[in-house]
Amino acid sequence: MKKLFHNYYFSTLLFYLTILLLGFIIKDPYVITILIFAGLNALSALGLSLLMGLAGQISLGQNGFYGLGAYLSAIFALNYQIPVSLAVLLSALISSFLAIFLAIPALRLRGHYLAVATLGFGEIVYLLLNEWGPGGPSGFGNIPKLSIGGLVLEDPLSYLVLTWTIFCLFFLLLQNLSRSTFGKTLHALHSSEVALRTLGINILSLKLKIFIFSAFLTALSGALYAHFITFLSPANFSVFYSVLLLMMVMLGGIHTLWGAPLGALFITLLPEVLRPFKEYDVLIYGFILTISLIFFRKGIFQALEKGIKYVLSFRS
Amino acid sequence: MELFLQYFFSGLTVGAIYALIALSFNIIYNTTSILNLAQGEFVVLGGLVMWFFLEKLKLPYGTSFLLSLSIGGLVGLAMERLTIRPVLKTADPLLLILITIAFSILLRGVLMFLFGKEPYGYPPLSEGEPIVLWGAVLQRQVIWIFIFVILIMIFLYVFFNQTMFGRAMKACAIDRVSAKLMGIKTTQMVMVSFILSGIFASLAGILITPITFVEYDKGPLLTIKGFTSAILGGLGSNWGVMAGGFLLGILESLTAGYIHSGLKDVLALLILLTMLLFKPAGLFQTAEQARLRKL
Amino acid sequence: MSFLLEVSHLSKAFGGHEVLKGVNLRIKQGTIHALIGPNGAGKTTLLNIINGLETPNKGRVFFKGKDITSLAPEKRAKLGIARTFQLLEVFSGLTVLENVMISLYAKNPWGFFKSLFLGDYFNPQERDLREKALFFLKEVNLLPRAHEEVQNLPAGEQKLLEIARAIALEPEILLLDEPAAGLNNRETRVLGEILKKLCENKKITILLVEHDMELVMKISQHVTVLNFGEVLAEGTPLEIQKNPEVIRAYLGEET
Repeated sequence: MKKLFHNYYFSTLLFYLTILLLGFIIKDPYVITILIFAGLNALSALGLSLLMGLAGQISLGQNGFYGLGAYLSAIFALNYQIPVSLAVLLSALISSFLAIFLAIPALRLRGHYLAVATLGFGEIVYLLLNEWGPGGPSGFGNIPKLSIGGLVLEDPLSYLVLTWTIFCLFFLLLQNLSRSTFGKTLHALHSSEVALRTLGINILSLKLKIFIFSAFLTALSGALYAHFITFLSPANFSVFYSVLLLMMVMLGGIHTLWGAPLGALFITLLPEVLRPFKEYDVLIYGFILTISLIFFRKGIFQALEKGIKYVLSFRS
Repeated sequence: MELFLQYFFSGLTVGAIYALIALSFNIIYNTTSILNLAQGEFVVLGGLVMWFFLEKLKLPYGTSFLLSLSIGGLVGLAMERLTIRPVLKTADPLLLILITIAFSILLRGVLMFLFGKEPYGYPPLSEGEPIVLWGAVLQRQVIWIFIFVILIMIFLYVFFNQTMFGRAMKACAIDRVSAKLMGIKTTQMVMVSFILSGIFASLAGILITPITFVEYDKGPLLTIKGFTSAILGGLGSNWGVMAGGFLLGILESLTAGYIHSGLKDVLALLILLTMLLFKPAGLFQTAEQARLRKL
Repeated sequence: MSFLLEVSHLSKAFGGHEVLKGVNLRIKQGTIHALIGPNGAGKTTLLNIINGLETPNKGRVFFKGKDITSLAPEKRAKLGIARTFQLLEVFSGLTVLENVMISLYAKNPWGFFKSLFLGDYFNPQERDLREKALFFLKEVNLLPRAHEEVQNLPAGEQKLLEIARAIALEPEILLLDEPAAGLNNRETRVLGEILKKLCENKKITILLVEHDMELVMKISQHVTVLNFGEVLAEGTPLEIQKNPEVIRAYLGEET
C-alpha cells in the first residue's frame, strides 16, 4: 500500500487534481484559458519529450503536425460536417499517418541533419498553410466547438477538464511505456545503436513508432486547439512553435517526462508574468533558453531543487 | 530570352548571398561538425549594424563597412566563447544544436531590442545607373557582390593552402584527433572558424541590404536557404557549397519567374528535404568522399 | 563435413588500406575457435563482417550453409549470431539487469501498445523477463551487481555483462572480441571456465578473438592466426604453438 502512494499513478493524480482545483478556485475565465493553453502545450511537449528525452531523436517540425492536426480537424468539421470529436480523432490519425512519409527517410539521418530535415518539413507545412490554407495568411473562423454526446463544451472550465484529462491519460500511458522494457530499449538508443542492432532490434522501426506517436500527440493537441479557439491562422503554426516546445522540454528537464507539463506551465505562464515587457519577448526567451542550456542542462526544476537543498544544508 | 536572362541575373545575385551563407556554414562545420543554425541572424546583424554606422552615425562607407565586418566577427567570437566552448567537451550533438538555436533566438531578440521591427536600407556601394546587358538590367551592387565573392574565394584558397594557420585548420577538419596529437591547438581553430564565419555571414548582409532591405526576423529563412545551398553542393567542400548557393539562387529565381512567386521558398525546402533524405552528401561528391572529408 | 560458419575469400579495404586479403575461415559446430594475431591484423574487421556491421568488398559469409553476406546485422542476430565488443557497447544509464532484459525483449518483443497500457508493473511478461535475466547474470557471476548502473562497473565486469547480454539471445554462435582484456589472472581463469561451460552445456559455438595466449591455449580446440589481413596458420593449439611461422610473426613483432 505504501508503494502505491509513491508511484507515478498517485503523483499524476495529485498533479491532475491540483490543476483542476486551481481552475475551480480561481474561476477567472482568463486564467482558465491560460491553463487550457498550458494543457494543450503540455500535450504537444509530451510528444517531443518522448522523442527527445526517451529516444534521443530531435524534431524541429512539431509545428507541422500541430498545424496539420488543427487545420484538418477544422476543415473536416466545417466543410464536411463530420462530428467534432470524430474530426479531432481523424485528423490526429491522418497527421500521424503522414508522419510516416517524413519519418522513414528522415530517421536514417542523425543529429543536425535530422534537426534540419524536420525543420524543413515544419516550414513547408507553414508555407503551404499560408498559400493554400482556407483564408490564406489571414486565416478562417467559425470553427465549431467540441461537443461530447450532444453536450457542447462552451464553458472554458469544461474544456479545462477535458484538456488536462486527455493530457494526464497520455502522461500515464507514457510513464508506463518508459518503465517497460520497450522504454528501456528506447533509452538504449542513446548509448549504442550498434549494440541494439546486434541484439536483433530494428532501430528504424523502433524510432518510427516513437516518431509517429509523438506526431499523434502534437496533432491531437492542434485539433483540440482549433475547436477551442474556433479561429485559425498560419501565424500560430510557424517554426517558433517548435522552438517553444523545445524550450518547454529542455527547461522542464529532458530526462523525465515530468519536464513536459512543468515546462509547458512555465513557458505558457511566463508571457503573462512578463506582460509589461511584451515587446522584448524574443530577447527574454532567447536569454532564458541560452542560459538554461549552458548552466542547467537537466532543467530548471532540478536546478531549483538542488539550489534549495544547498541553501537548506547551510541552515542546519 | 531577355526575360530568362533577367531571372538568371537576379538568381545569380541571390545565389551569391546564399553562397556566402553556405560558406559560413561550411567553415564551422569543417572544424567542429556543428551546423550553426544562427547563421541567418549574422546576416541580419551585418545589414543592421552597417545601417547604424552609415546612416545613424554618418561614418564614411569604407569605415562603416570594416566596422560592421568586425562586429560580425566579434559576435561570432562571443558566440563561440560564451555558448559553444562551455559545452563543446560534452560533444552531445543534441545539446549543440539546441545551443545554436537558442543563440539565434537570443541574437534575434537583441536585434529587435536595438533596431525594432522596421525594415532598414541604405545606398549601394557605388551610385549610378544600372547596367544593361543583352537587354537585361543588372544593378551595380550586383557587380560588387560578385567581386566580393571572387575575393573571398581567392582568400580562402590562399588561406587554406598557403598559410600555416589555414593548413592547420584544414588538418583539423580532416582529422581532429590526429591534428591535436600533432600539437595543433584545436580549440583555437574552432574559435577562428566562428570568427571567419561571422565575418562572411555579415558580409552577405552588408552587401544584400541595399537591394532587398533587412529586418530583424529575416534570419531563420536565410539560415534555411544557406543550409539548403550547403547541402545541395555538399557540406565539407568550400567550392561545392558555393556552387550550391548559386544553383539554388538561380532555381528559385526561375521558379518565381516562370511558375509562381510563392513557390520559391517551398521549392528551396523541397530541395532541402529531397537532398537530405536521398543524397545527403550533396550533388558533387559521393558519400564516401563526404565521409573521408569529415571522418 | 559441414561447418556452422564459413567465410570464404573475404577482402576488405578502407580507403586504400587493405585490412583483409582473401581470408578463409571455417568454424565447426560446438567448438571454441580462437582467432589470434598481432594488433591491426584485421580480427575485429572480420568479426564486424561476420555479424554484418561491415560489408566486404569481396568474398562470402555462410551461416549453416546459407549465404548471409548481404544480410543486415539485426537479421543475423535473429538467425543466431551474437557478439560482444572490444570497445564496450553497454547501455549506460540503465542497470545491469535492464541491459540483459533488453536483449531478452529483443528476442521476443511484445510490442508498443502492450508496453503503453501495462507498463512494467501490470505486465506478467516483464516479471518473466526479469527472472530470466537474473538467470543469465548468474551464468556470468554478475548476480550481485544486477541493480547497479552499468557505467559504474569496472571494465572487466562490463565485458562479462556483454557476454550475458549476448547469450540471453540463446545464439548458436557467439563472437567474442577480446573478452579478457582488462581482467586480472583470476578473473581470466573464471572467464575461461564460463566460456567452457557455455560451449559444453549450452552447445554454443564460440569464435574467440583474444590476445591472452594462456586462455586461448587452454580452452580452444582450434586456432586461426591472422597476420596483416591474411591467414598465417591454422590448427590445434599445440600445432600453432610449434608452428615456426607463427613464432616468427610473434617474436618478430616483439623484438
